[in-house]
Amino acid sequence: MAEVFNWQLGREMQYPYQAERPARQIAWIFDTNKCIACQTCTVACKSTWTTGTGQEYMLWNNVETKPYGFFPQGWDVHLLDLIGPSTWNNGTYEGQTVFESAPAGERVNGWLPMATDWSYPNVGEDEPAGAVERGTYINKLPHDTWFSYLARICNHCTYPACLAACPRQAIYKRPEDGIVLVDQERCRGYQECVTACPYKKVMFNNETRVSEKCIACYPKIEQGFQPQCVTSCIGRIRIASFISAPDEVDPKKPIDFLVKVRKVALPLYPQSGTEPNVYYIPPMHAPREYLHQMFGPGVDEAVETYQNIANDPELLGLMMLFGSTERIMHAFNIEDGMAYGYDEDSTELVRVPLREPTFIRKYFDEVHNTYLHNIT
Amino acid sequence: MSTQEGLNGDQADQEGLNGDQAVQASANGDQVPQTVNRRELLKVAAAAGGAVAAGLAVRELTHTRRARQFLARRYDGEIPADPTDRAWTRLAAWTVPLQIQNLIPQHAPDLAVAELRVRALHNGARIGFRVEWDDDEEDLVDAMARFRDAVAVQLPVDPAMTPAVTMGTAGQPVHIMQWRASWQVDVDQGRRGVKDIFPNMFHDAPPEALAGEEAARVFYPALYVGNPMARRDRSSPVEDLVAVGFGSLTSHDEQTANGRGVFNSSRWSVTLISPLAGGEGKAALAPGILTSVAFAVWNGSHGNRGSRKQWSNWTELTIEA
Repeated sequence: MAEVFNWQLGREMQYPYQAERPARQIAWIFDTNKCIACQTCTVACKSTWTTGTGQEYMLWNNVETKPYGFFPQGWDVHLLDLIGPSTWNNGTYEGQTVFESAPAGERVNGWLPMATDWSYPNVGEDEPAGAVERGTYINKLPHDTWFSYLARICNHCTYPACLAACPRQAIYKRPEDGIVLVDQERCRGYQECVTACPYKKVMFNNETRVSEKCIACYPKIEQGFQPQCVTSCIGRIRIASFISAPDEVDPKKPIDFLVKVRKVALPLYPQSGTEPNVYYIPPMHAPREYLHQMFGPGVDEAVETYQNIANDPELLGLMMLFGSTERIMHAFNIEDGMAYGYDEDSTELVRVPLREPTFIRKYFDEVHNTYLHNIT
Repeated sequence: MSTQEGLNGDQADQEGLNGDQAVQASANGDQVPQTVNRRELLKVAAAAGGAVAAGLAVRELTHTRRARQFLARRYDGEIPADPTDRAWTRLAAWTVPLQIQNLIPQHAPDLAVAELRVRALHNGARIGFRVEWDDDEEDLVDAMARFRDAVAVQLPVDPAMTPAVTMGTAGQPVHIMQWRASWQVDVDQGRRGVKDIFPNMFHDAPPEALAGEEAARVFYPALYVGNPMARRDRSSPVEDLVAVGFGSLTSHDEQTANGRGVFNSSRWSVTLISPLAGGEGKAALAPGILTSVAFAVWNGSHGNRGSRKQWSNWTELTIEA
């Protein structure tokens, strides 16, 4: 075991290999507040990558309803149960990671889902956390009765548990962009990676008898495009770009701005210790206790900053740029009520207004002699 | 039984190895061994001296009477792949004790198989091993969270070397032959897939239905890149592999091993057959030499796969001249 620095935990931790950060790391922001669980991302991913026999059950991208939805069954409950109580002290994690809590003879503290665990991708969908009493009028945040959507892909972790668990180095993290891949030539189907991944995003192909996972649409990323799940999102909740190393911050980079400057986007179950690279803007209507457990100690600040977005032109502008271009946006800028997105060589990719112009039509349409439902 | 003192040293040694089986002395019992190690040098020295008694005296100093290795018997004819063939069953079995793999993670959970009973035959061109072990349950499927039974034979590529038993080391590779129960089913019944594991699975438009068999290969990445796990045209349940230490196991470019496994009365009997000298990267065996062999076995229903296995230390193997 080597000592590596995990910035999300605010401390050094144990990992089977020496730290070797990629030249740059692809990362995602998902705004859970805007997700409507339409599963367009799921379908985009499915129809692009997992249509083969043996991949029927595979959802490299899925959207589940929290608290009662999960794919596979109870993945998050199992994770929390395995690593035990997790406490934070001033931003430093004091519990154990999946590496530190590994029992003797194991590389990672994990569990292997059975076929039945993979059989209910829609379990818990749209199920609220409790009953809604007759006459209830929800007029405060967070809501007393709630559910929220959690879109999930492989986190392309800085310290992948799948990679750590593979006894034959068949999993690698690309030095050029940090994408984590299963070598389809070298894998012998031991499923140690499936057992190890705390997010259960490696899946066994029953037809080819080896494990497969989200490939971050690397052929697109290599050509400067964002992955399918990002560009297909009709709610424009996602963005994919590169995040700077932990000791660097570039406020012009979209991911750096959201994760390190405004700190509105947080890692999912950072206590796993894998340093996941998908960052979530937490659902502001969900109870804080649940969000603390899910996203760590930065939740309160993140939600407050997000709720103040109307007074924060930079944050507002960047959020308006979500889903505005298929290209990877390396930098952004806000000027005179417009948000601009730029390519790697600073050429302009897209510009959007901070506030969409609003036109109000008359309630009564004299031309057609009819009343209009939608007047804005 | 006692060693047959009237024979020369080599033959007596071989008899001692074979426990309770009576074997006639062969005419070529005095052939000089091909490999050179300490024991062989002593044997050669004894033979050169021409004094059988002196030779035996030297042997007494270097070798206990208790049998410590087993013999690949010379067999006249094709080595039978069928483990129930009398050519196999009439041989006395050599018992190989197993231990849990707990040197490196991931460890095996428990000692699922305590010992193997092994036999070996060669015909001058091919060598065969027959491995037998007790197993309550036949695990034939490679699928999600389900693992298959398997067995492997490990030989030093250079038979004069004794590489680390932990799958060799850099510069001292080992040749491994692995048999898997799932591959046996592939060979016997045709390639198994999702429909065999989940008979009620419905797939409305698999790629081959839309694009044709050949064009659809790209939808099966492991198949497309030639991963032996994914191959559809399996003709042998045994795979040739090379390794230079834990984690380095790699399929050999030239597959020459064959064999067959049969499950009967809570017992697996498996043959693994290979050319004596299989070529580059494989064990270079020859009649009359002494080498080492090790075994590993996996019990699928105990979650065994990869490093979660039972394994043996090196056992000396004499290949009858």
